[in-house]
Amino acid sequence: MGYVAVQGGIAAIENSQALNRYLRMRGSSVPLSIAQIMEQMGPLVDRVMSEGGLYSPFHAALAVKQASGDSIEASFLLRAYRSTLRRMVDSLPVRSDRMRILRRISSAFKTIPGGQVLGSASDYEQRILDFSLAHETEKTQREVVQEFERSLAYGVLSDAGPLEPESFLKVVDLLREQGLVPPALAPTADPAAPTDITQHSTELPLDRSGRLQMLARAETGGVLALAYSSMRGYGSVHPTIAELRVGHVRVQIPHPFRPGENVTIGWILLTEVEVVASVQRSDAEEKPVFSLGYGACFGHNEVKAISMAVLDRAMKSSSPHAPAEDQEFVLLHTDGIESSGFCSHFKLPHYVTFQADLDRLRDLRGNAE
Amino acid sequence: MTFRDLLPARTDFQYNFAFLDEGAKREVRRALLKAVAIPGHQVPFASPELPVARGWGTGGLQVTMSLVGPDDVLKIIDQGCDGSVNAVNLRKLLVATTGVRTTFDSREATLLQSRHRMPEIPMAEGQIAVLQVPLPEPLRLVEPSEVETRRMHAEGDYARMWVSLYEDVVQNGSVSISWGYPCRVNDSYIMSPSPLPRWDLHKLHNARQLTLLGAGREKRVYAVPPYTSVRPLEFEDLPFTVENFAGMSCARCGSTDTFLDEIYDETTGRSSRVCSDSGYCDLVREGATGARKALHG
Amino acid sequence: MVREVGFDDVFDSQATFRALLDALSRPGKICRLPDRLYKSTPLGFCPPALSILKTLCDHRVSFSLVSGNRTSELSRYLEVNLATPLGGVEKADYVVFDGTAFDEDFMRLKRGSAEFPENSATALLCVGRLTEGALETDTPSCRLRCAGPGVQDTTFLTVTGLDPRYGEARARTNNVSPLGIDLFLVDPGGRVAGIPRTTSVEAS
Repeated sequence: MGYVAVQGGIAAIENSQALNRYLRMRGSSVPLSIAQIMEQMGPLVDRVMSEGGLYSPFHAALAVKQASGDSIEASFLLRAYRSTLRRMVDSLPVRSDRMRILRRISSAFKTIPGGQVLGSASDYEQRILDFSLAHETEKTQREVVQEFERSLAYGVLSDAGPLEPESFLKVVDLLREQGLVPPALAPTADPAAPTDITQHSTELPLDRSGRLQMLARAETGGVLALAYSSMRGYGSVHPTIAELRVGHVRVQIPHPFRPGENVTIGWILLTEVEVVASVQRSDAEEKPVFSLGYGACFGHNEVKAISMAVLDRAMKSSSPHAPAEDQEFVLLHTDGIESSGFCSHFKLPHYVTFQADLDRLRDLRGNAE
Repeated sequence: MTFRDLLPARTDFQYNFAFLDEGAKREVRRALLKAVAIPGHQVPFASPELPVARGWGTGGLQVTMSLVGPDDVLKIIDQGCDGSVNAVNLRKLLVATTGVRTTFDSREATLLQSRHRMPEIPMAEGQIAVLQVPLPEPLRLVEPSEVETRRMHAEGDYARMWVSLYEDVVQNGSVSISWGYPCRVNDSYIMSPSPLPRWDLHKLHNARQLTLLGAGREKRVYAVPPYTSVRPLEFEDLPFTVENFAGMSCARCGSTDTFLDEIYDETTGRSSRVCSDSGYCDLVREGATGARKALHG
Repeated sequence: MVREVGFDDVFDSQATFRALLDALSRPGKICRLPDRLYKSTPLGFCPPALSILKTLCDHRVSFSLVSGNRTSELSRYLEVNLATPLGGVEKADYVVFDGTAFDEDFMRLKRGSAEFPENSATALLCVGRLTEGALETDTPSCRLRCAGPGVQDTTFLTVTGLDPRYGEARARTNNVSPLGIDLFLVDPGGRVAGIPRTTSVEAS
């Protein structure tokens, strides 16, 4: 069994890999370019960046191509790649209040300072399959792009007004001015905070920063399912979205050579949601306030950010009952790479453990083989 | 000059020796030293993602990667077999990133990484066993919460485990746990021996080798030093028993004293038994001197 | 202040770690650290201890130096050669002691907690000379009789240049199992012995 089986094992793996490649390439369609995936599959790329925990649309698109569109597999590829990268520096905290807004809505108030910006939203699309997409050509592409850009030039969309200023007061800060939500936390004196969950072993119960870090990398379907359970009634968080923002934020680091200065190393696309939920009282003397939930993730992924915010609020519950309120339950079961890995591991040989089970069962049944 | 100009160029990807970066290895090494000092206690560590999926041996792999040096001799088995597809894959990764010598003869290995089995031939002083662990927490049987099981270990509050075993006996006539049987280490912590069959449990007790156990997805390592007691939880009047292979022998080598896998012939459908430890089976078949004797220490 | 370049981060770390692991798994067994020539070790500091610190320390842990010879020169040497800044003794994960003279700071080392017994300090004691077995020596020495996990029955270790008060102190710091400080004894010749908290030690 030794030498021959080893050869067989290697051959099986290599053949399987060759088959995977063949299945991806054998059709008559032209190989996908990374640019096509980045440009035309934005939400998928964004989701993979978020779950992979690495902001790089190029690498995420490459992972999507390699995984043939399987988002968990692609996220895994990206995470494994991330592990190989050298950590050079920690950025300064990102200022989402200075986000270059692409989309900004509030469910709390009809009009808000700065106005609502519908932006690019799928919410109001009629979900009717559009068969014309099967016939798109480069000519169609040119026409669509030219027409839209022309409409901008003629100010057809000028009702929206130019986007000046770039960003706006947050609705939550508005509520905060009126004392209706808890005051903002003072920035911590220690620049080394928060603890990076990927660099340090962490123990439950996690602090809020650790919880949000884990949610930021969590699998969209997983957090959605648990947030949904909360919204529907398993420990209810009935959220009102104070604000949902999608846009680009500046990433800065301390200047490597000039102390006291900061340098911008780039801009990333972020989705950020702040929800206001049920009334809470911090202690008997304090007046009641709304409780808050916060969610933010790479790229444009509203379902994930809203779900994160709902779970953030649920996990703050002072008397956790429902699954969504149980930190351990939420945080230990929503990482897509860990959950899919463990799920898949059941495909590994379990001959010995099963043999042990067989032995036990036969013994308990009073049989001798 | 832009910041982009300051970034190092990344051309061909170069793996570090044994793949893991030195920072990740240090993290595992620190945890392992504490694990050895507290036998049976699960020590948490920051476990990065590897190209191998979670649940597929990343814990054992990280331990091996943090131990291995150029002079080591490596044996990797899964279900006792070197040829199992997953063992082959892990071996490929380790050899590609270290160039170390490998062996199928367990006596030659300095590092032996295994999933679900210990080799039939008892290991020696110069050897280290590294076991892959899916679920390191033995108290998970009675308690889903990590915070609570941590408290139970801290307080030595193992009553619920005993009650669970008792109820098992009442319901089934004996303890029905088949593999990964909970053990008491150094008369202190209750530990999961990894999904070893009961057959292999005694190989951790008062052993000559050091045994290290790694759970990557759960981010824990733990250890059983040599010459340390490892006793399965048992009731005085219901002693612990191992799998029953009475009347059976290996169809390949004839052994009657090894853990035997039940297999069903691909063509005829007939069932037979073969040694799970393929390396040992091969040695006996080849008539390797001393193999049978080595089995009985 | 010289940065030592003789230590290979990959292979010397690996060899050092294997020696430490072997030593701690088999208390009383003397293991050899890789032989590295350090150019400019300040007086009073045992060079092999640097190999141990370089193997185990980085920005994620803290380290402290306690020694009768704690000079600013030594502090600076360690700051230059390790990626870890010196810190306070109560929080330190790794602490270096001059084994020849007991320092009360040993009692301030962190010992872990019931839920996190691993969160305790590891102390490196720089001693005169380590030898396996119970020997008579010219210089004053301790004979340590070790038993417990890792030891088949009992084993003996002879140590010169070890203040016996460390043994008494260890009995006090490690008296609440499973909390406790784990020790490595290291001599200038690169020999190391490990004494985990589980080892019962009788000195004579």
